[in-house]
Amino acid sequence: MGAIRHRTKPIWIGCLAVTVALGLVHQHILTGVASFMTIRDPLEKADLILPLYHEGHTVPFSAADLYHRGYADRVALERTRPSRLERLGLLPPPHEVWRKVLEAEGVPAEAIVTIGSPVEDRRKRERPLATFLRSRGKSRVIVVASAPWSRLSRNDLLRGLAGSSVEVRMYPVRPREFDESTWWRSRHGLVTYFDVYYLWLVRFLRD
Amino acid sequence: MADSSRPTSLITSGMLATDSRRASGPRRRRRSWLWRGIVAVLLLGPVLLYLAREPLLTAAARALTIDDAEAPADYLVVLGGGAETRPFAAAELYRKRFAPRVVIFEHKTDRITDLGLTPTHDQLYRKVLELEGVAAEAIVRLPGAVDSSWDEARSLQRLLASHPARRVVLVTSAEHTRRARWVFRKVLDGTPVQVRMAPARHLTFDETNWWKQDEGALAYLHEYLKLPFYWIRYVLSDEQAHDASGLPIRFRERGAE
Repeated sequence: MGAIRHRTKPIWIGCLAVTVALGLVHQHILTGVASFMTIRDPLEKADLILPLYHEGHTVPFSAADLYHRGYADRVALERTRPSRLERLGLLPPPHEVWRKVLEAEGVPAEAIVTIGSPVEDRRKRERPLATFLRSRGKSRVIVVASAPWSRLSRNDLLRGLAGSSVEVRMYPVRPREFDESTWWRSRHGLVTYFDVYYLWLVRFLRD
Repeated sequence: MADSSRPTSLITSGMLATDSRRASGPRRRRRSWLWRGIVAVLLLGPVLLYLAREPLLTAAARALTIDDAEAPADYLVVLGGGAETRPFAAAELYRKRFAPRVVIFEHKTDRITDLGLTPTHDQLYRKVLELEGVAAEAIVRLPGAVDSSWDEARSLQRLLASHPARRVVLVTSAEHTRRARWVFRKVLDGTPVQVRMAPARHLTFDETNWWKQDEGALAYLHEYLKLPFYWIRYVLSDEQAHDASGLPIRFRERGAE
């Protein structure tokens, strides 16, 4: 009995030490977990601003702000496959809604372009973007995305744009309800980071 | 005395050592079989799980679905969050005369809705219901913005306090039926109302293929994460207090969906 107790003592002490250490640094670890999913590229003047349909509360407003700060003279909105409610005429498509948000935020109608056709597949989303930029001899796009989704979005874009000369600059936007240093205190934050890590893992294994 | 006892103790300890060596043989063999068993399970387990993944994942999804709707009911209660399917399923039950009234909730709005660019949650539900054949006067909109199944249950509890009912049929996504029934039964505990469930099927996946799509996988994983969370969180905070309207509440509301 004494020998067993003697042998397990360091294990218990080790567990206690690890628990205390985790308690002390948990905030840094959790912030790091969230920061990993955020891709923030240096902002430079670009040919196009592309807001992704992540968070209506924040993303189109940030895209309008970038436009006003002179980072690009065009904002592009992508057409998406219509949902059941859109087909029934009960909901407007997202590009129409976001166009109105951008216009309400002072972006002139002629600076907003709608690109692509209703896409069938997430993986084909990048083609209209590449075609649009190539047809105008342009190459740099600022992609406005919700911060937790910025890594996944960038990975998808880079995969879809592989071989083209399009340069993608990610501009992450903080979600309304949480940020990287508080996400674990919010239900929405927990669900969001669970989703992005799950999808990141699944796509990593699948692709 | 001391000298004579020494050989005896040596003999005794020698015998004990021999006994323990004798005993350690079968014990060691048993331990070796135990390790072999553990290794076999670790190696074969994942293979068997992989081979049986389809029936296992289907069973896991079916365990969440409750489908016990029965007519006649007093109200069809459409839970928020699935405008693509839930009001359509409720309208179908209304047309089949499961209940003469359809209850919808007022939900919190977002910035885009506040700008008037998209309809509010209840406006959208009402439009779908009317388009699908539900009479406008049969739709009951409960006031007071809700943000979770608990809020919805409390809102229904207030309606039933003034309009008693014997049976309500909740219409929600298939994977949400088990948790929703648990929540509504807890909140409506002590009232004579029967809570029945009608699952609204998703358009692109069901219990037999949910893991093949991101949307389906997330929907079912969320439920399996939320169920124990709900049980722990709300069972531990049982029998808390009374709400502002004076109605006894058995569980503290904390805004979890």
